[in-house]
Amino acid sequence: MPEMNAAIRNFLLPEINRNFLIRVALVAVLAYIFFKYLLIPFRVSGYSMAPTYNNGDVNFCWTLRFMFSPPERFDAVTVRYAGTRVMLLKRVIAIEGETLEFRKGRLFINGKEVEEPHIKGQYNWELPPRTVKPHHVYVAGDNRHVPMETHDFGQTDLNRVIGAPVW
Amino acid sequence: MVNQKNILIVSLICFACVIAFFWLHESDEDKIKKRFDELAEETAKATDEKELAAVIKAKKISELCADSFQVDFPSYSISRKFMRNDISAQILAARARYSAISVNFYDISIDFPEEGIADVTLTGSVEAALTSGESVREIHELRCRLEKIEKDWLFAAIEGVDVLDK
Repeated sequence: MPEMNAAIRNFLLPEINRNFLIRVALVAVLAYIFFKYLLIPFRVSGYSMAPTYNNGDVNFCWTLRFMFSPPERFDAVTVRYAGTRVMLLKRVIAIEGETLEFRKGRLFINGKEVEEPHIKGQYNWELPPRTVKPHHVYVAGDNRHVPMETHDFGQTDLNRVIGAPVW
Repeated sequence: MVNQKNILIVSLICFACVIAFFWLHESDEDKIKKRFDELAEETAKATDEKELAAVIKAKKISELCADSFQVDFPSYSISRKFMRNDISAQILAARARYSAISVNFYDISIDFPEEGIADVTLTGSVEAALTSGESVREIHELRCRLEKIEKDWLFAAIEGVDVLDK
């Protein structure tokens, strides 16, 4: 029992010696690298991806998600601006070479209607056909109830796709 | 023992000098980042801002710009060159449409393609309230060119980058 108490005390209040400081520094450096480059924490701001992701939600961007395979249709992705401090959270609706269009709020890929399981309710977007350029993906938010003109969507270079939300 | 003590003191003094040098020395990158801080500060608007304060801020923004200032925002079909003397009035008119403005810059990366020229890529975020009460939030990737004129880095051009192409 006294050994256990000593072990607990040592765990909670360790002796501050050289080894302890090295361990703390190592943990701090590894945590910085991990959360800066691999698992980037972010907070959702806005309603562009509602109801899947709501304003104020906290999540993490896993940057290795598309390391070995490019994003596929309906993958949620984070798209960077100049860096990763501010990113867009969107859903891939078409991949390179595909032609997409919206007719009365319905998504058509290469002329065929595609069901979007993550979209709730009806909306009225109209978008003439356009083809996704090579090495690009076409992204849009899940919230299509906002006017098309005020919604950020479109094709973006795959280099801008940083990763995917963890949940 | 004395030698060790002296070595320790000298080392500490050297270390302090190195820290002080980096602390006090302002590199071109620091100066440019400071310019963006100034731009954000002068563009920001509080709800109770007085007219005189607005005029002073507009003048300060124009002083951050070079003699000619090119603005390009392809997504808004804006491509226009402003002369320094006109900027103040334009800024004053633009800011008057809003009752409150908040500006932030993120992820600033600076490149020096040649002496006295800096190309800066960054993310700019503007949150504002129109005088009608409507809220506006715009985020853009920006490419800016600054020119060093008489030791001052001044804005010569700003371009909005289309991250999503509809």
